[in-house]
Amino acid sequence: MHRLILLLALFGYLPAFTQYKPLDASTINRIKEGVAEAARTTNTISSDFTQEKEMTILKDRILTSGKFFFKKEQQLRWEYTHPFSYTIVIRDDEITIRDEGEVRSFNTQANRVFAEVNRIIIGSVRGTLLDDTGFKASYTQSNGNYIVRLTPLLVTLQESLQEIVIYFSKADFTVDKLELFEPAGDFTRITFSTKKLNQPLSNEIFSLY
Amino acid sequence: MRSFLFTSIGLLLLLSGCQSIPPRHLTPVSHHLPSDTFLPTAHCTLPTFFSPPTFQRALFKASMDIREHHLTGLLFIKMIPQLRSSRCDNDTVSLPAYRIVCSNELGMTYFDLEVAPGVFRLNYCFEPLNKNALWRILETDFRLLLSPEAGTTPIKTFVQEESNYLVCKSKQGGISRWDLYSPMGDTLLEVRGKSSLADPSWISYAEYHREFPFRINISNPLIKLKLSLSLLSLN
Repeated sequence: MHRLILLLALFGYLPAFTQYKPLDASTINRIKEGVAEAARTTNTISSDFTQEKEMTILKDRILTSGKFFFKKEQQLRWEYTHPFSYTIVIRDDEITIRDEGEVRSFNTQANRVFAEVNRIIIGSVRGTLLDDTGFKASYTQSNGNYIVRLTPLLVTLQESLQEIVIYFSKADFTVDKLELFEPAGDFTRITFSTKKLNQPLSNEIFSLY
Repeated sequence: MRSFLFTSIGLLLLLSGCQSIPPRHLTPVSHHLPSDTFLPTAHCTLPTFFSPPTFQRALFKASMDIREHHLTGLLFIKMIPQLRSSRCDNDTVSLPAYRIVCSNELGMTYFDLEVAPGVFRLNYCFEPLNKNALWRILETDFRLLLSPEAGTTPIKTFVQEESNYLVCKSKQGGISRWDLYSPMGDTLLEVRGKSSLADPSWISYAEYHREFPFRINISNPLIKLKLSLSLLSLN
């Protein structure tokens, strides 16, 4: 009986090991080059996104969704459309928020977590994050993705973020999915879909005034 | 130095006293109305928005203003009934307990806490919010909002002169509270409460749909804390 349980457990876990095996140095270099090349040739991204906040202890989750826009060099727009209307525009170091019709601006440096999330998202889109000395990186892969796990080295950031997992598409090295793990066990998964690269995006998209 | 300290404390007490948390000009219901008058709320109850069996979970859009800081995000409240042994026999009783998770829009947690009768546990808190004084006040706020101790102590009913609001006065879990209902007693308008001079709290309710308030504003005048909640989903 014990052998049977052991066998079942072994077979149950084997697919996980084969799916996420560590990568060799040459594959890691290929990923870095692919991401850097994608960043160099990608001027704009527009995409839908779904966001799931998993509250592991509560066995519950919060689902939100909306539209995402990026324009080189450092312009981002997160537009939440469900279940509420809320827009964040990040231009360089300035964040502007439209919440229930009210627009506010502040500097990312005033909000450490926002600054880090901003740095992570822009860094993953531009490919600079993989060489960021503030994180320890490990590389694995699944069928459709190269998976990069980033562990913050700064103690101040570790208080808010335990690990960031970026799923790069094997097809075009753009970000398919982003997971932000928190110290208490909760995590947020942002999945990008219907991505459009290098479509013209007007500057008005990145202004809320 | 000592006189400065006493003056400061005196000033603080005076200022907190000026907030007038207890509603003024209250008359006991029995003195106010003729004995044959129909009064639907002669027996006051505490708000049941967050009570079993109807309430399970709610998601709110939240914004918090504390002094010059402005935070926005989502506030999730889930009922997690706790079973405790009854004092009288071997039976277990189900007590209302709540888990509250507040995060920013990108999902990063500001705080995660539990509220139950006699329990207030902060499981996680974003470091800049990690201030004991703040959590003592928020404990009062969430106890007033969720009323986990409802039904454990008697409630006295009053009518407020001029407004004709029905006022239910009680002490629940060490917090003195006044629940202000519309004159017909069918709509909760405000809850005011405090456990000490330092944590007066004021909760207002508006935009009722299906007997649940879609807008809840919590205000702590002493530390200039405002928490505004707009209901997104309920089940």
